[in-house]
Amino acid sequence: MIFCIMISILFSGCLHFNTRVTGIEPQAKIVDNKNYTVLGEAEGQSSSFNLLWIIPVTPRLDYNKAVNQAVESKNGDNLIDVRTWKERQVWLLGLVEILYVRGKVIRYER
Amino acid sequence: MNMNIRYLFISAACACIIISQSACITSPVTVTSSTTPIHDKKISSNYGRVQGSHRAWSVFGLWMIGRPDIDIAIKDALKNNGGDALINVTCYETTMWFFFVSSHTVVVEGEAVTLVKETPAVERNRKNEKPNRKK
Repeated sequence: MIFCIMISILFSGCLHFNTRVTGIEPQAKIVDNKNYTVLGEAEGQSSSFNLLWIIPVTPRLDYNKAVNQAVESKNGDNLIDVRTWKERQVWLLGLVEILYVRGKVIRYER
Repeated sequence: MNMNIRYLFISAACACIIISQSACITSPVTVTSSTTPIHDKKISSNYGRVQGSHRAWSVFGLWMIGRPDIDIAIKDALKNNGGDALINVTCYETTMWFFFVSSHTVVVEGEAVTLVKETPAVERNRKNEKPNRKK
C-alpha cells in the first residue's frame, strides 16, 4: 500500500487523465445575419477545480465563456463548425476539468 | 491422447483469460443536423452515408496518450467520397479494454454533401415566390 502511494507521488501526482468528445454543433449561437465573413479557426476553454475531487473551488465549466473566448480572440461575432471536448485530470490534490471549444469565427457584414 | 486433452484445456483457459480481460462499451456523444450552418446554402450533391473515426490509446485505462480527435474523424468520413460537410450526423464513442491498455475511438456518421452558397439574387427570388404559393 505504502509502495503504491509512493509510486503515485513519484508519478507527479497525476492519477488519471482522459479526454472525451462532448459535441459537434453547426453554430454556437443563432446566426442572425446570413452575410458573414469567416475570420479563421479559434479555440477557447473554460476550466474548473475540485479540491479533494468533490469540493468545488472555482466556478463550474462554462460553455459560453469558452465560446466567447474563442470569438473574442479574432474579434468576431459568432462561432460556426463548433467541436467541443472535455479533458479530465485527477490529481492527488483534486480534480481538474477543462472544456475546449473550437470552431470558425465569423463576423457579420453590416 | 492425454497431451491433446491437456492442450485443449490450456487453450480453453487462455481463451477464457483473454475474454475475461477484454471488454467493450459504446456510448452516444451527440446527434446534430449538420456540422456546418446550411441555412444559407444549397445541397448540390449528396454522396450518401459515410463513417469516419479516430482512436487514442490509454495505459492501464488511466493515462490517455493523445486524444480522440473529432476533426480527424470528420475528415476521415469525408475523405472517401468527398464532400464539404456532413448532415444528419450521429457521433458516438467506443471504449475497448485489452489487458493493460484501452482504446478510445470516436466515430462520426452522417451523409456527406457538397454545399453551394446561395447568391443574394436567388434568395430574393425565393422570397418573392412565397406569397404566390399561398394564393
